[in-house]
Amino acid sequence: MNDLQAELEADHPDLAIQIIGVNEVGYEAGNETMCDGRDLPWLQDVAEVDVWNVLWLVTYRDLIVLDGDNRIFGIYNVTEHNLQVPDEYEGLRSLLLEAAGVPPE
Amino acid sequence: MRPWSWTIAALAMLTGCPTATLPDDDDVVPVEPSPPGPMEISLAPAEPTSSDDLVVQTVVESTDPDGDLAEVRYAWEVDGEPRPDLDGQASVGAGLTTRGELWAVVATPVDAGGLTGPSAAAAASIGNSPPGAPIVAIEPPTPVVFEHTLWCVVNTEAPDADGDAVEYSITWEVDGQPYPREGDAGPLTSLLPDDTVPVGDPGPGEDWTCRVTPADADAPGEPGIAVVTIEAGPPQPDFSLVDVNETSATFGTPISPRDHLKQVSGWYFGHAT
Repeated sequence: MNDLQAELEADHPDLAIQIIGVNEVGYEAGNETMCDGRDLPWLQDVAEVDVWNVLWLVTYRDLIVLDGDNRIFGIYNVTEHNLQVPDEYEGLRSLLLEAAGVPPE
Repeated sequence: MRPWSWTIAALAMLTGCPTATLPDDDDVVPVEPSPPGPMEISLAPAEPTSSDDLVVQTVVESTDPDGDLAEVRYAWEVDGEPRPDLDGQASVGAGLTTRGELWAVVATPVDAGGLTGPSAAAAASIGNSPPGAPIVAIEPPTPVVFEHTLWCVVNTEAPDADGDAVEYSITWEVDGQPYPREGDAGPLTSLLPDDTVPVGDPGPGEDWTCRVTPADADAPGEPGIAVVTIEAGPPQPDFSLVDVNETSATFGTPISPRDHLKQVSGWYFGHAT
């Protein structure tokens, strides 16, 4: 994910596409390890907000792509789509670019 | 009976002589009346179904040497049995025909004196009528992305003139391209095979087409088609959470989706393990 962010910034700096991580409540202990070597924003969900299970009702390892109006453009679950597979990585990259109005190659 | 025709051999004498007299019998030559000549017919269409009217078409018209052709009489048979109720008709309505029947018609030219010429005949077997188009729809009619499943439904069954049982096959297209695409989860089956597209496959702004093709045991029929456009959903609920990554440029500050309005953002939901 960190690599994808860097690639998007390098190739399409004008689009300002931003990837942000959100950790589920109860997994705070792993934050330090998770952030090691990564500079993406990593948000910690809290019980009073509970984005995971109340506000957005997400599935574990969903990457939810929002358009410029914060409406869902696409959902890419990286358990179903292993980003180590080049085609799957490219699929997520294309989805983000498509949301920004870049036609698929 | 048709009256005799007479040739008046001495007509010139009558018109030119003030003291003319009637001709003698030896001067008049009787002529036999002639029957109409042969004709050719066909039945249209050449391969009718039970949805088609049968119409007699004249391929070669009968000519009458005397120029007094009066009519053509038609007589119909179905599977060798006469249908006198249809005598005289040059066509038969589709509603009278049934798949598998052999219909034959005999046409006979008749002149004004009642003399008949040689009859012509044509025949055709009634074939299968494929089903007509069903009336279909996609439910809901205004689907919202990531909220609604698409369901293709048959609202009015496909009519079949033969009364055959009709089965349906369903195909989908997305913006004119075949579905499923790579990575799609559907189609699924609810009531009819492949009638359902699961949430997650449709994207905002896409045009989805459902094509339902009916078929009887012998042939496919005309498809019923429905189209919907996928609407974007409402904005995601906003929130505010603190960035806990010490190496992030926004470490320690609250981050919200509203901070990323007018740009694309990707929100990854994982576990820190």
